[in-house]
Amino acid sequence: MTRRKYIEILLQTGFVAALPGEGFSKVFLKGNSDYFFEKTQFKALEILCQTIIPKSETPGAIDAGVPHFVDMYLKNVVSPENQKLFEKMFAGYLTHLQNLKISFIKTSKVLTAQMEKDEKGEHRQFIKGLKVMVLKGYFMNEKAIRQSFQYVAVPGNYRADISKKELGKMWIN
Amino acid sequence: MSKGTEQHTYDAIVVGSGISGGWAAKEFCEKGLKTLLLERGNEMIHPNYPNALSAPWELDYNNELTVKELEDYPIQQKAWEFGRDNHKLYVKDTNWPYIQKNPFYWFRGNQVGGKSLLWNRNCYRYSELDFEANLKDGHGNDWPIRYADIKPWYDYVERFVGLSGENCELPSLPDQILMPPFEMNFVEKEVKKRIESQYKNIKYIQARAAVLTQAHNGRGPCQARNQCRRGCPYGGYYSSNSGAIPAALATGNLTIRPHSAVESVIFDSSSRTAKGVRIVDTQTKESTEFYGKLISINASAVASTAILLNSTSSDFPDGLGNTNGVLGHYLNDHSDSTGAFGIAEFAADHYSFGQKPNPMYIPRFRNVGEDKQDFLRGYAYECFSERKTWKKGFGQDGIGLDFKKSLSEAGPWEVGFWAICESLPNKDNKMTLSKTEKDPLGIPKIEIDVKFDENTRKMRIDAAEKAKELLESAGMKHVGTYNEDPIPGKTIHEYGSARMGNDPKESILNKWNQIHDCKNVIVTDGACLPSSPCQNPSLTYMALTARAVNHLIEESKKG
Ligand SMILES: Cc1cc2nc3c(=O)[nH]c(=O)nc-3n(C[C@H](O)[C@H](O)[C@H](O)COP(=O)(O)OP(=O)(O)OC[C@H]3O[C@@H](n4cnc5c(N)ncnc54)[C@H](O)[C@@H]3O)c2cc1C
Ligand code: SF4
Repeated sequence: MTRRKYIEILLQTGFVAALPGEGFSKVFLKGNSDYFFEKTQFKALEILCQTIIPKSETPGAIDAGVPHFVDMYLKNVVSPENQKLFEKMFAGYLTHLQNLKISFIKTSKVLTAQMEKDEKGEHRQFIKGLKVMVLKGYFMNEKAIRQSFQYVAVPGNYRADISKKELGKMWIN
Repeated sequence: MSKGTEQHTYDAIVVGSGISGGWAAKEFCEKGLKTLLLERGNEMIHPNYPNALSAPWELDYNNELTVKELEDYPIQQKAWEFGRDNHKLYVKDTNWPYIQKNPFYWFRGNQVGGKSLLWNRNCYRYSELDFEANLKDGHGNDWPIRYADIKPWYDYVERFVGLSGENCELPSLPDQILMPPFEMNFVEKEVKKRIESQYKNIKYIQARAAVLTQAHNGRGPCQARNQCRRGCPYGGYYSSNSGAIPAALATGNLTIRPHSAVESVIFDSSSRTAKGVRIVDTQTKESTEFYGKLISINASAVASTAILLNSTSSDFPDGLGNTNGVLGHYLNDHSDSTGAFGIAEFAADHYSFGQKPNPMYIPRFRNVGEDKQDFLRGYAYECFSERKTWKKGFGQDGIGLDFKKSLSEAGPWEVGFWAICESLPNKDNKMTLSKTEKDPLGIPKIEIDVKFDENTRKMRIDAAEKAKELLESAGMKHVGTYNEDPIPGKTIHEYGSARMGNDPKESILNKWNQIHDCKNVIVTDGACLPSSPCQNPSLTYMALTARAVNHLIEESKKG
């Protein structure tokens, strides 16, 4: 599948119009050729990431810069073979969503349910792969870490056996 | 002596500043010898370790390296704890390539301190059983020393280094000088009770490690932060940089020269001694000679052996001290990556805060006392227990808010037993120098040809099955085994390529680690071991170094 074909699918599935204005990466908008995704693909990626990690009392994936992370990660950390594989699976997944005629503009609930279902089905490898990158990106965001955990760089002492109440949030460093 | 020569002349020269070289330098300096410490890698001064205090958000790509960056580290990237945070502490393979006749992972430090900044700090003594093993089962040559010879030096080293952990009075594992360990977590306490009540010959003890639970010699204590792989600014664990080197510098007798790759030892035919070493400066590529009366080679097993092999002369056309062709043979490693894991469901309500750096240990019990197996020697287990947080999400199904919430909760207690298996000395395993290929410094490339044998294969199967049995007996659920195809070098306990022995016909070094045919040169790293018992070896390198250096100094005083 060519990149152009890819973008066509994106346009048809409605990804491009979804989540207007929400955290769209400024750096990405510069249209820098160093990026892995085309603009429209990136928009689709944002929606998928935000569906996996939505905003709650802690940041959502977009606020935490996850789509940008995934883009850079794919571009620079993932091997060329796996990049190709991901591209193929990404396009395949978008086609799959298009075939189901899921509208992303209205609500993300439908997409959440669909992704949950797909994670157990034939798109498992794609969703699992994407989730690994999403988590790596999310949990290197300072705000996400500090709000999700008790971040203490230097504990000073090891408390070997305590209750959940004594601990509070899980410790991380 | 010309002024230039004089400037390059020291009482003692130490090659390599890692775990063993640090000790050699300390002992020489404390006995009043002007000492030159030559190190191939970069300068690295305690406590300024790069990234030691970096937060997760400061390490790009969630602490991974890019494909481009990894091109320089095809082997080092396979190390257990290699990441963006500490990759600069490893050598670039492209700067120091070698030839693998069979797969062999050769991990190397890249700085003053060598791998003492990277190690996992486990420290165990060898026992009488270990020193007698070669003689009794006929594999390898007889060790020229016994436990009584090294015991005072273990004591000496442990007092300086500072170890924490638990003693257990076993014939296969002598007791050590230890400060109290960190407290056990709930899972560890339970597993200990359950295993030790069911198995009379098996102990599940708190690991003995060069980790300070109390301040010691101006270092530590450990802050329970579990970032040891980056170097410890608190001196919470022992490294050459925080321990031996500052002690040597304090005497005023030490000169450290980083970026200095020793290429060979210079032998003086008339005095039948070595008179110095030749180096290549890794930055300028210039060759220089340094002279000294006493020389300690501590570049780590493979690199030390390569220096000897490359030290050819009319007296030693096949390498310094290699009149018997043994040099380079018997190179071997432990094997690991076999064991089992399970889930401690019973501990779900128990949590901990912080992370102690060293967990639990099951000392060797195979082929000890009444136990007899269809393989020789034995293995020990390093025993882990942890609760994951967000990383458990990699394997977990779920999308959306509930999934997100679960990521900040603790996962189940995962418990793993990881075996470290002894491998038998084997003459067919060897390293040589290439006759045709050179590294970027113009030094012949090292060729490594090592394979594990049938004994290792059998032992690994047993280690996995026994781990499963033990975990199940201790109440673990969902127990599974693993037994990966072992690659020599991966355990980073390489040994044997310039072994000690009483008989000069079958060994390179005598019982004081001196080259039989060139007694002012000692080799005290893993190269010197006639066998490598399943205990982690670095404590023994340190003890052998202190012993050998002190003997060398005494002998040189006698003239
Ligand atoms: C991740 C990891 C975990 C480990 N865990 C443990 C453990 O728990 N317990 C344990 O006992 N051991 C452990 N080890 C192994 C331990 O690090 C080594 O046994 C120990 O460092 C060997 O000491 P050494 O002095 O022989 O060599 P090193 O510490 O490697 O030092 C050798 C030094 O010599 C320098 N050098 C090499 N060639 C030359 C040359 N030609 N000229 C000048 N300098 C040269 C090197 O740059 C290096 O600085 C571990 C190692 C790693 C990497
Ligand atoms: S866990 Fe302890 S020993 Fe390890 S780096 Fe931290 S303070 Fe140092």
